[in-house]
Amino acid sequence: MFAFLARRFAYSIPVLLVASFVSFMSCRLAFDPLTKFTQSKDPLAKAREAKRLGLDRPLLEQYWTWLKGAVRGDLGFSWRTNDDVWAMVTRALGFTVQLIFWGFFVAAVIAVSIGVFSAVRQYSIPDYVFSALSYLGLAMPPAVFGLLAIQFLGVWPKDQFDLDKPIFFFIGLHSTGESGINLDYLQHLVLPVLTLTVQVIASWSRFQRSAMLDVLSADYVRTARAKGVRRRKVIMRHAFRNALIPVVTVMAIDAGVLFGGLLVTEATFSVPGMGRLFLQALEAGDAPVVTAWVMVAAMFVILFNLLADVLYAVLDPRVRLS
Amino acid sequence: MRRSSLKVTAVGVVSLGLLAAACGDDDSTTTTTKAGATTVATTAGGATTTAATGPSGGTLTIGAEQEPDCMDWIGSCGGSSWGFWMGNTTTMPRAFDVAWDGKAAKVVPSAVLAGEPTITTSPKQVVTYKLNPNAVWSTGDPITSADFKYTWEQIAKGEDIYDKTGYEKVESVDASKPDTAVVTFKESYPDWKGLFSGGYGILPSKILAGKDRNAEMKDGYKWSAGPWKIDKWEKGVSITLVPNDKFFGDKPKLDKVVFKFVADTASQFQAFKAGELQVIYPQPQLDVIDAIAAGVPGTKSAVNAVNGNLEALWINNSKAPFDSKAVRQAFAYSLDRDAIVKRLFGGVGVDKAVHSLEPALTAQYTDTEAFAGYKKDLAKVESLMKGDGWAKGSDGIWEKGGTKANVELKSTAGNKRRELTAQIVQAQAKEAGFAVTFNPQKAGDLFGKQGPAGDFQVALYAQVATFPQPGVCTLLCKKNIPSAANDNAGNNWMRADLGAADAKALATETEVDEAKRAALGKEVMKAAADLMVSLPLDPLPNILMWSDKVAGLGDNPVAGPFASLNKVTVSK
Repeated sequence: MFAFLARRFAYSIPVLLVASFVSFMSCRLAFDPLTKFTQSKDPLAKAREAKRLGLDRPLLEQYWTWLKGAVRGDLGFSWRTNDDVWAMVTRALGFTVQLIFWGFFVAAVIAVSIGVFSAVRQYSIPDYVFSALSYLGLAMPPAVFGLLAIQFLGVWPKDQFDLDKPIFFFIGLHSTGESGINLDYLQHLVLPVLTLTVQVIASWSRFQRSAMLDVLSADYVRTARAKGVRRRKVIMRHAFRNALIPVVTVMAIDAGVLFGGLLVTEATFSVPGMGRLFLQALEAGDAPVVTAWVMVAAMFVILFNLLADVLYAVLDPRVRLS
Repeated sequence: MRRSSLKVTAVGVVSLGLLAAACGDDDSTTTTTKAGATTVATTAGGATTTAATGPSGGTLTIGAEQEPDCMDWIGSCGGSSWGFWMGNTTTMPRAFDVAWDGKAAKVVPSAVLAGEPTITTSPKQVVTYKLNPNAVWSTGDPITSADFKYTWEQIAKGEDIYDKTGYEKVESVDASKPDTAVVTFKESYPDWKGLFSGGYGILPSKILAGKDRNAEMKDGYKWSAGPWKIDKWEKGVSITLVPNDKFFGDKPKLDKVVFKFVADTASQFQAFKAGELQVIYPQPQLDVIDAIAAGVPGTKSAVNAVNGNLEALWINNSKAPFDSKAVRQAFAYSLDRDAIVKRLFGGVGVDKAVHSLEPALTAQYTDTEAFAGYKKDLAKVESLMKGDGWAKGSDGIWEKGGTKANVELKSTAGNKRRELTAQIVQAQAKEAGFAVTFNPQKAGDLFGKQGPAGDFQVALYAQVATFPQPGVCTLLCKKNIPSAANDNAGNNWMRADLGAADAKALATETEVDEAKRAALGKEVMKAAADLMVSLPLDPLPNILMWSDKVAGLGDNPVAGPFASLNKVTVSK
C-alpha cells in the first residue's frame, strides 16, 4: 500500500509542474495586471508597478522565480492585493471545503438512497418520478438552478408568508455576527449545497440504480434468495456493498466536477471560497493566485482519484493495490 | 488620480480626474413619482433622500458589488471605487470636501481646516493650511502639519504608489508649527485642492511613521478621523464599521454598518428584495432599471443623472473614415442621441443626451451645450458626405474611392446595456448610410491595449471624473496622444488635434485663476464640438436603492453614497 501511494504521489509531480507552467503562462499572456494604470495621469505609475511586480523581466524568468518559491512553500504575494497567496488560498479553501464536504455528504446520501430505492422498486411510480427528476437535474445548469432556488426557496416564501427574514439565506455562510455550526449556518448552507449538487445527485442516482439492478440480477443474489435469506438482508448485505463499487469510483472522479461547480455556486451565493478567488484573480491577471489555484485544483483531483483506488480495494477484497 | 480600476474591469469605465471625498450637504430638488410600490426619486443632482428621523442604534447592512483589494489607499492596490466609498470616505480626514448643490460641485475646506488656506503664487506657489484644533484622530491626538508632511513624503517618495500626480510637484512641506502646514510647490499647480484630499486624504504621522505603511493599512486599520472606525474586515465576506467616538463632526446614529460583498448582480437584487440587504448601489444595467420601473415593494430608490460619469462614442480621429472632420460630423448627425438615452434610461426618468465631453461634475469648466447642435438630420448627413466626395452605393452605404463607410464599434463584452446601445446606433447609422458592426472586447484588451494603441474606429465606454477640475487637456491635448514621448501613457486615445485650441487646453493645466481656467475650458469644448472629435451620449446615472426602513441616505457624485452614513437611521 505504501509503495502504491508513494508511486502515485511521484506521478503527480510532473502533472503539477505542467499545470503550474500552463496556468502561469496563460494568465500572463492573456491578462494584464497593469491595466488599471493605463489611464493614470501619473506617467510613471505603470512602469513603477511593473518593476515592483517583476513584470519587466522575461516571462520564463518570472515563472522560474515563482516555481523556486513554490517548492519552498512560498507561493509569493498577490499582484492584486499584496496579500500572501498561501494565506489567501487557505482562507478560501476553508469556505470551499465546507461546501464540498456538505455537498459530497448530502449528494452521496441522497443519490445512493434514490438509486437503491429505484432499483429495488423498478418500474414503480416512485421510480418513474425519480427518473424524471434526475433527467431534469442533469439538464439544469447550476447558474440557472441557483437563481431559481433563490427565487422560489428564498424570496418567494418570505413574501408569501410575510416573514421578517427568508427561511433560507443566500448571501454567504453566516449572518452578520453569527459563526459556527448552528441554525443560521444551516439556513445559509441549504441553497448553495443544493445548487452545487443538483447535477451530481441526478447523475449518481442513475449510476447507483443501474449498478444495483446489475447486482440484483446476479447469480449469487438469486442463490442467496433461493437459500431462503431474507430479501432485506440480501439487498443490504450482499447487493448494496457490491453495487457501491462503480458508484464510488464515479463519485471520486466527480469530486473534480464539484470543484468546478464552485465557480458558479460561490459567485451566486457570495461564498468567498476558491471559485470566487479564481474569478477575481483571473479578472485581475493575478498570475500567482491563478497558478496556486490551479495547483490546488489539480491536487484535489489527484487526491480524489487516489481515494477512489483505495476505496475500491476496501470495498472489493479481490482488488489489491500493488 | 485614477481611482476606478475595478470599474475598468467590471463595467468598462475609465476615470478622468481626481477622486475626492466629500460630505457636502445636498439641497437639490427631488421629484418623486410612484412606480409600483417603489418610490423613484429622480434628482437633478446629488440624491439626498428622506431626512433621518428614525431612532438611534441598530445595524445597517449594505450590499457591496466589489471588495477592495486593500485599504492602503495610496498604495498600488488601493484604487478601488468600492474601497473608497466603504473605507476611505468613512475614516479618512481630508483638507477639502466637495459640496454638491445639485447643479455644480464646489470644493470647500473641510472641518480639518480652520478656514480657506492662503495661497501665494510668486515667486513660487505656496499654500498655507491652518488646522482646526478640534480635528483629532480616534486616538485623541490632533491632526497636525506633521500628518501633511508624512502624507506627502509617503506619496511623493514611496515605491508602490498608485498615483503621484501633484505630490511630485511639491517641493517641501513645512511642519514646524503643528497647527500650520506650509506647502511649497516646485512649479505652478492649479489642482492643489486635490492634494491631501481626493482619493487619498491625510495619513496619521504619529501612528504610521517609522512603520511599513502598506503592512499597517492594507488589511484595514483601527485608527480614524472620520465618523466611523473599521471594526473588522472579514476577507471575502464583509467590512464592519462602528462609530468613532472622537469624531469632531456629526456623530453616527447607528451602532454598526456592515458592507456585505455580493458580486453577483442578480443575487444582490434578490437579497435586497428579501431584506437580507437594506441598501444597494447597483450598476445602471437594463435589468436594474426595468426592476425599478416595475417597482420593488417596501423599497425606495434615487437616480442621480448629474454626476461625474460620461458615456460617449469615442472616435479615433486618425482612423479612416473618421480622419475627415466632415465624416465625423455626418456620423454625429446620423444619430438621435436623445432616443438612445431614452431607450436606455427612460425607465428611471433620464431621457436627454449630454452635450459635453466633460461630465456634469466639472460643468463649471466646460460648455455643457457644446454638442447640442448635433441632432439627427439626414439632410446634413447627405450634404456633408457628398461635400467630402462620398456617394451612396446600391446598398445605401456611403462609398468613396471603392471604400465603404464601414464603422467598427468596440465596447466592453458582457454589458447588455452597451449591446443595446450598439444595436440602436447600428440601426440609426444604417439609415444614414453608415454600416456599423459591433465588436465587443475584453475590458483589459480595450483599455489596456487597443485604446492606447489607437486600434479602434469608435469605442463606447464611460469616463468618470472624480474631482471637480477640468480634464480637457488630459483628454484632448495633443501632447497626451499616446506616443513614445509620453511612454504611451497619454489619455488622448481619440488622437484629437484641436489646432489653435490646443494651447488653450494646455493652459487649463497651469492657469491658477479659476475664472480664467473655466473660460479656457469652455472655449476648448467648443473647439472640440466644432471638430466633432467624439460624440457624448449619456450621464450613466448613479442608482441608490434602500429599504423604506432606512432614512437619511444621500448620494454625492464625488464622495459616493456612503460618505454621510453618520446621518442614517434604521427603524425596526
